[in-house]
This record gives sequence, C-alpha cells and structure tokens, in this order.
Amino acid sequence: MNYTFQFGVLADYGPYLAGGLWYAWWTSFPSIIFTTILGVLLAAMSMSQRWLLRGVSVVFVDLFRTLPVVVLLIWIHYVMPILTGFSFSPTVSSVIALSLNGAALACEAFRGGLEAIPSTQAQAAQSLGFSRWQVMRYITLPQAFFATLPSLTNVHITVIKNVTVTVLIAVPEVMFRAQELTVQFFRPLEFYTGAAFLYVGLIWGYALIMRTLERLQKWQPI
Amino acid sequence: MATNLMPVAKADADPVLIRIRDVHKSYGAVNVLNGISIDVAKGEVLVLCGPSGCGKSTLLRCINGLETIRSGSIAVDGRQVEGATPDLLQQIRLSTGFVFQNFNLFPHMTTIENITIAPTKIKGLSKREANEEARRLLEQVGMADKAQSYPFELSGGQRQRVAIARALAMKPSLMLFDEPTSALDPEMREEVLHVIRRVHQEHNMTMIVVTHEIGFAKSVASRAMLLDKGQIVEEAPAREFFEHPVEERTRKFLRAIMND
Repeated sequence: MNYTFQFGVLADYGPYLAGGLWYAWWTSFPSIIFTTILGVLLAAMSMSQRWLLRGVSVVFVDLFRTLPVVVLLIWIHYVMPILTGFSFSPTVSSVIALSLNGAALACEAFRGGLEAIPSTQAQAAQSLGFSRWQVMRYITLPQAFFATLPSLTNVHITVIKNVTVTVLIAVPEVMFRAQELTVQFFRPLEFYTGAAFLYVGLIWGYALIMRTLERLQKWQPI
Repeated sequence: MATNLMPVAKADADPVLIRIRDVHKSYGAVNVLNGISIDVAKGEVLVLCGPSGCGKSTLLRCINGLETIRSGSIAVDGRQVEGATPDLLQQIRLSTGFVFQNFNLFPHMTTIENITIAPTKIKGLSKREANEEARRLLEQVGMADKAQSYPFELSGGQRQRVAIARALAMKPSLMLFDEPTSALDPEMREEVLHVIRRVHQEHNMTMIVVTHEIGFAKSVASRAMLLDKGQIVEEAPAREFFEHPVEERTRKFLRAIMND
C-alpha cells in the first residue's frame, strides 16, 4: 500500500463536506415524517373491513417494498417528467422516493404492532360505544405506537441511509460532496472516510433521540 | 309482535328492558346457543350460571352486539340488536355497560383517563365535566386515591372496580357483568361484589350477571337461571333457585360449585 494519508485536507474541506449533512437531514427528516404518517395510515387500512382499503394497502406495500430505491428515484426524477411534463427538484424527488419506500416498511412495522394488541381491547372500547375508527385512533394505535418504536427506529435509519442514493440525482448531501472533492483532490480515502463518520454520527444521534422517546412510555402492558 | 309496531315514545311504558326470543348461535359446527328466550324487566337483576362452555358469556356478548346471532331476536329497550346499523348498535352499546372477566382496562391510560375517554370522545362532554363525574364514580367504587395510576400499578380487584366505574360513566340503563370476579383472588372478590351491590342499590340498575358467587346472587339477584349446552335448564327466583332447585342438573351443578 503506497497511499500517503493526508487527513489535513479534511481540515480545509471538512466543513464543506459536513455542510452536506444539512441536505442529508432536510432530505431524510421530511421523508421520516411522511414515512411514519403514511405507514400508520396503510397499517390502519390493512386492518379495515373494507376490501378496497385493504387492497390499496397491500398493492402499495408490495409495490414499494419490492422496487429498489435507486430505480424508484431515477424513475420519479427522470421518467415521470417525460410522462407528465411535470418535474420536481432533486430534493423533492428524493423525499418522494424515500417516503414511498419507507412507508411500505413502516406499514409492516405498525401492522406487527397493531396485531400484537389483544382483540379484547377493541371489544372493551366497542362496548363503550367507540366506532371502529375511534377504536383505532384512541385505543389500538397509541398502544401499538410504543410497541412499534424499536422497529420504527430501524425503518427511519434505513430512510436516512437511503439518502446516500440521492447522489445519483445530485442532491448536494455528504456523499455527493465527497465525490466532488475526491474528483478535485484525488483523496478518496480521506473524503469517503469523512463521509462515513458523518453519516454514522447523524444516524447515531437520531437513534439516541428515538431511544429517549421510548423512555417516555410511562405505562406497561398488562 | 305488537311491540315492534308501537310508537317509540310508548316504549318507556314497556316494563321489559331486554327481550330475547329463540336465539341460536353457533361457532362453525358447534351450537353455542340453542333457542334461548328471556325477558328482563327494568330494575331486575338476573344471575346466569352454568358450566364453562354453556353459552352464558356468549349470550351477554350477543346482547351487546359483540357477537352476531344466527337466528332469533334480541331487543334492548325496544331496539333490535341483530341487523342493527352501526349507529343503532352504538346507541344500544351506549345504554349498556359491559364488565369483562379480565377487566380490559386500557393500559396506556391512567385510571381517570380510562373513565373519561368515552364520555369526552363519544358523548362530547368537556374534560372538566367528565373529570368531575369520574371523580364522583371513583369515590363510589373506593378508588379516588388511584385516579392518576396506570392499570399495571393496580391489583386485580382495583382494576375491576375501575372497569365498573368506566362502564358507569356512560350512564347506561343496563349493566352486563361477564364473570366479574372469577379472575380474582378470593379476598378481592368481596370488594368487587360489594361495588356491584352498591351500583344496583344506588342506581336501581338493571343487571345481568354471569357469576358463580352464590352468596352474592342470593342477596342481589331477583332471578337466577342455569344454562347448559346452550339451553335454559332451570329458571326461578334467586333464593328458590339456590335453595330448592327442581332440576337434577341444577342440583348437580350447585353441588359442584359449592365444593369448589
């Protein structure tokens, strides 16, 4: 190995590289929010009595769980405009692709959590006069939420990791900048290692926040 | 049949609150209810007993529309349960309190939230009104000091008393108790039975109680009934039923539960 380490370049260009985190966060954060909201809706739909709602949920999950994120992203950003004449900025395309993919994963996580709630809970609520929707809203979902948090964190982490594929449509996040700097200075090891640390830091910090959220649960299942 | 044609306003004059006619219910090939007919008058306390699997719990669940019957008819306060629209079913459930064997409190809510959730979300009571009413009910069931506790912090007897308060908060005209004490230790049973007794006395509440607590049944119930294999074996005023049962099947059953 005759590569001379020059981590000094990070002193000069590290801040620029780290600036990519801003874009990584503003791509992943909205995606996480949409992922969660859509995931809850899809999970609720999958347990509906109406076959149409169940069907939509199943088709959605099977489609977006199987579509590779790269294919989905390229399709939304480059193919959809051809069909519709309507195009999005790279960040918006990325948020859409990551949300659709994440929602399919989150739906499965929530469904697992919902199915773990004993049916007697719904019966007790129904006997008090709750409609099926109210049972979901006030009784099953809030209980399933905490049961789902650990696997939901995993889904969110996957979403954040998927931000790196947005390099393909030039969202100026960390990977894009690492590539840019490498081409300019021929220092792949330094810049990509820097990128690795930045992503690990971002995700680790996020996981920490989610773990704090888990501790907010004051009740225990009985 | 004439009752169905009567105008709604006159339904108040009908002394019968629950009218069950020739109800059949099966799970797959298993017949759980085989032609049950019962009238329960307003203010009456009916005790149902019978061996496990005799259909007593299923009957309660059918009255509340938690199960659908195969044939026959069930009317609560003049409203038909079978074939009811979701709105009508909700009205029936609003006038019926259900207390479960395993309490089924909502574990993610405190005691007081368990009691106020239905009045606020369904009846649209303000939080303040609902809380006041809940505190009064908690006082009544002797749980005032546990208003802010979560169900996991309560004993079985305490959970059941909260569950009773939760049902009462909807001001039902009828209470259905499905083996309210059989998941409890003997010393906790009495505290729950005491509460049920008080509910009956203070509200003159119509009740159907599935229980094997003979002492309780004799002191509170107006009528008792033995169900076996989905049919009514014997029906009599409570004291007579427990002290001088006519049917051999009833005698055998009572001997069995007394040796329990």
